Amino acid sequence: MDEILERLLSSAEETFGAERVLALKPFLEQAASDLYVLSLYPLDSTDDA
Amino acid sequence: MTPDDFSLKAVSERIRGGQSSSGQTVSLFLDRIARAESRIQAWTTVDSDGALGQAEVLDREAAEGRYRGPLHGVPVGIKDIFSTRGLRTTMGSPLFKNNVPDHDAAVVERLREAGAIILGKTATTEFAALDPGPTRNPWNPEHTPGGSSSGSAAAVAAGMCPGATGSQTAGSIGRPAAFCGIVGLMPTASRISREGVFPNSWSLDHVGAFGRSVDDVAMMTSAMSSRPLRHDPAIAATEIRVGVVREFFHENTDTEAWELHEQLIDRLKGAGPKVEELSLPDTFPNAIAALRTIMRVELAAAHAELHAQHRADYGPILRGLVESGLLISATQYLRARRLRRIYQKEMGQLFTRCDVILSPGARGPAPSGLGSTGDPTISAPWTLADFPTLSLPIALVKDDLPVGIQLSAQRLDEGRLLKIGRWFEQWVGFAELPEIYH
Repeated sequence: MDEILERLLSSAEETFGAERVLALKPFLEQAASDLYVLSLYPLDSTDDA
Repeated sequence: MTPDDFSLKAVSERIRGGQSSSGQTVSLFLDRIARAESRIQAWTTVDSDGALGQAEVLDREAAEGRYRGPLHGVPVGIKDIFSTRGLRTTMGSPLFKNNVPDHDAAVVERLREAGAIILGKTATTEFAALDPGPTRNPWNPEHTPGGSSSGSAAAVAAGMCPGATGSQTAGSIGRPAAFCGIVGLMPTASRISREGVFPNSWSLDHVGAFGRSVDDVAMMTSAMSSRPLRHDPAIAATEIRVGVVREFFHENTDTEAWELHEQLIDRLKGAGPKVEELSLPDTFPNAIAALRTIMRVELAAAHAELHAQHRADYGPILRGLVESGLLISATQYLRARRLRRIYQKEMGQLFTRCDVILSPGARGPAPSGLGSTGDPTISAPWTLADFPTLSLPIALVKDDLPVGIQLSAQRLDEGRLLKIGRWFEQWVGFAELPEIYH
């Protein structure tokens, strides 16, 4: 999850500027946590066919 | 007049039976708005002149024996993210404060065709997201009415209109219905057109209705529906199969609300219905994460252009959600969408053992304060599954605030859901009203 959050924080700084990162951090932490949960579920290419 | 006289069904029957004109009915509700609105702030626009003008036309038609439909002459509130021809539609945002559409949302058009009168626009959170609007809870103005359909739920609960439209992306019908002690219905998404409704998340948005009773929301839904709504006869208690789920819902419900829920299940076992204990499928733990991921990305997509020009005018929660959504990759979004499809298939299997699934209406009663509209978590699994869900009040708890239940059914099975909902409504017998109603 830390890796996902790091990537989101870095993208946030690049896209919206360093001054927005602090305000965005709680939203990015929630997003990273959600993406991490989703990444744990085993899914192969035909699973939702 | 008794409070029951203000239900949508009773109002409709009085107009059809000639005991009341549409003009008298509109005037009655305008008077109630004038008395309660300063305390509740449920409306962004009240169209007094327009509503009285529509009533005049409909009364002339009624005098000639011509009735447009079951809502002939009945005034309703429209959530302020639904476009209304010639009537301000603000989306709860300063960016749209002077927006007057030249067309009706499809659902507004259908309501007009059924004879409904548009009384005005009800307050919404900003773009139906999580930054609260000004609306207060009719049971206690120091508490939130829930959101995002805050004004619609509060207006019905305070008796300012007999029915109103709502929309739900996570819990925006279920939560305000529970907090305001009224009935709400989120139908299957494909049942009601979303054309002309400002999107929150295209694949999660549902259009629905609020009323004082199951009959009221059935009438509203039937009028708004793109597909015919089956009207089933009454059902015997012994024919009802109710599924109950304890995992997830227990940990996301306050102690008092959960105890009431458990007591209701115990009583239910002796009342006739068959009660089945259900286990949630493997994908369930992903449900909330999938919903939030889909919502963030679709919200960001819907707001991309507007946000690029006006981000400083956005509320802090909406802006944070949009900006975090802009940073999620396409593959991450598609993973959430794929998991949703598997989740929907697995959840659909639960209905082999039951007709409806019973769950708490919200985490608990309406929280104190107006800084948040409360937690949508309890409603989110049903929205993600796209299961039509009926919210019913069951009791008052501390500080005289209502709590409710949700009944969810298989996709497009609203006919059976409403039939079972009527049985629950009678069996529970909740008849409390906020003081402001009287």
